[in-house]
Amino acid sequence: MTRLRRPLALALITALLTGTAAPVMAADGDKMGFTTYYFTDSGENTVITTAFNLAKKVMRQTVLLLDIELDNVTVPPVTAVTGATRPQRRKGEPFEKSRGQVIVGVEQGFGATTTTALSGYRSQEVDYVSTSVIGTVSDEFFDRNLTLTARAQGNWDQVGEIQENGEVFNRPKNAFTGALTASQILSPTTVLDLQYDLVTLSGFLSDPYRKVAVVNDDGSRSVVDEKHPDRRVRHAASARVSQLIPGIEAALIGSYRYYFDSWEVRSSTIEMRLNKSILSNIILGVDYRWYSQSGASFYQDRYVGAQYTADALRTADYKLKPFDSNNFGFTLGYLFRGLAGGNPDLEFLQGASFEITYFRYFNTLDFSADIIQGGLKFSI
Amino acid sequence: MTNLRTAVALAAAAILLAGCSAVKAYERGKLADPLLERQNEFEKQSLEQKFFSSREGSIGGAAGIGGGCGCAK
Amino acid sequence: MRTLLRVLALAAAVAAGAPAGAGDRTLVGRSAPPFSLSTVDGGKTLSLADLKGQVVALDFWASWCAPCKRLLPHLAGLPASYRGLQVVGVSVDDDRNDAAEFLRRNRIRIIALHDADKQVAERYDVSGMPSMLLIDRKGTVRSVHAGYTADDMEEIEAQIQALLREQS
Repeated sequence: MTRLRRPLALALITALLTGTAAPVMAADGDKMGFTTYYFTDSGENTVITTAFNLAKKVMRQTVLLLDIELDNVTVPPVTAVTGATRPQRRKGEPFEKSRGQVIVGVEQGFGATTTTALSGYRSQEVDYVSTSVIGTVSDEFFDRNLTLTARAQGNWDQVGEIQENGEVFNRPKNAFTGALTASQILSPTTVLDLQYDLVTLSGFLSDPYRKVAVVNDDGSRSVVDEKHPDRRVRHAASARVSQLIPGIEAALIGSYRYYFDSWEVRSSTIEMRLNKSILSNIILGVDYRWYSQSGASFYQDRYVGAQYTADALRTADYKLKPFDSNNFGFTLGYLFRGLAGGNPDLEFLQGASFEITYFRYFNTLDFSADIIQGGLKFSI
Repeated sequence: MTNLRTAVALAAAAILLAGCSAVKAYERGKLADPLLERQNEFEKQSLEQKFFSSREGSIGGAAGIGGGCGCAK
Repeated sequence: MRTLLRVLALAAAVAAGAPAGAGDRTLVGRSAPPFSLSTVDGGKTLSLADLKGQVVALDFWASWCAPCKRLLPHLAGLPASYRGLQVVGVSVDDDRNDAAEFLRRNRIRIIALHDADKQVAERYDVSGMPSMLLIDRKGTVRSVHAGYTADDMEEIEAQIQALLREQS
């Protein structure tokens, strides 16, 4: 519980900041939000995220955007299958890491339906720094039934490796992302969302801490650094249909994503979600997700041969193996609008909610996790 | 690759056809229902996405938000 | 890849050519379409004809529309400063109770009507929410405001003042 003290304090401070800044900042049309999420999985990895966002109108069609997020990640001593990179030398102790993220941007509207935005993003943690610039253009067509958005993003990251002496050795990793989104209203109760993402990465695309076991020609074993290609092109095409079923106060949301990349990893993701309204301010959600991927062209269960201690590509990244996964989720949400009562000062509660989710994830690599996620969302 | 092209062509056609019977601004009340998650619980979704993308080899997703209430600005 | 690009280009071209919705701007200078609607609390019925001789701010809104909810209190406050001005709110909520709830919670006292089957909204070709029309003493639509931002109030008030100065 001691681990929770710092992030909880941060969450409290952010909430207070939002509360006091609100009356000052909130002119007509301004928006401010605060969210905090707690996430834990059965490997005892925990993430506490606190985010604060602000949109302040400065001119007729110009809005300034600010987004601050703080994550606190804790990984238990036992080497678990986790996404948080961690220095190998710290195997015996729980590993705690903080990440801070800031986004500053400006949104400019043109005419009745066009919006453009430009933001700068910076994320920092002890062994990873990410800097990016994001530009978006959005427009509405066909009586505002179709919204098309194009996004271009450049990332300049530093993948760090914490050395024995505590210093961080950095390797650059750059990425360019293009994304196209189309949201089409198909009926008063149906929306279709289509998205296409393209990411090209170059630079250091491995994990500095991961090692690969190689069987040499003479039968002996070596442990060498992972070696991935220094370029990767990734594509994802997805479609989502959201259908409201007013008769039973429910909504069904289904989505499919197809992914493929230049390392020959291909995957399909299917997700179905059912949301049901209970007692007017409570929402129950049930979710199922199926995922299946192929392995990278250079993935092998065992690396045998001298070339793998030299220049041949090799990986210990389980994310480049072929596998399937299933995920079942249950969510309970409470909308605070029910508490607004007759008081106009409590109108801001219209946008507030609390939510708790449990999901069980398991894959064909013998990894399973019980995840609990809870959050408070508050916006005016 | 051909399957992908056909899928995209069909999707584009669907968009164009759907656009011909537009849903009026005043008929969009139901789309504002929180059950449809159009307000996009951004932080929650990105936490979930981080979980999956840190354990799986894919990126991207239907994170598109748009259409919606038809409210002007 | 080329076929994909061609399809996308075609979609973009068609989309670009499609108007965002000329909407109720075409009503400016024309006689305001007549209507007869019941109030949100279901008590009375009001026709547009009942308001002839006064300057009318006719506002199409709904409880699910955020900018609509921001405009309404501002409009509701105007009659106190401008005699001869009638503010009429027409809610296009599916459930009249949602509209009634919002008006009651925010103590908004205007003529609140409910357009249950959305026929009046269609007659006025409402293309954006909110849609606020200013109708002069003779019953002619003089301006249409689709959408709302805080800066709009200045212009709206100036237009109302000008319309009030006109004789019936």
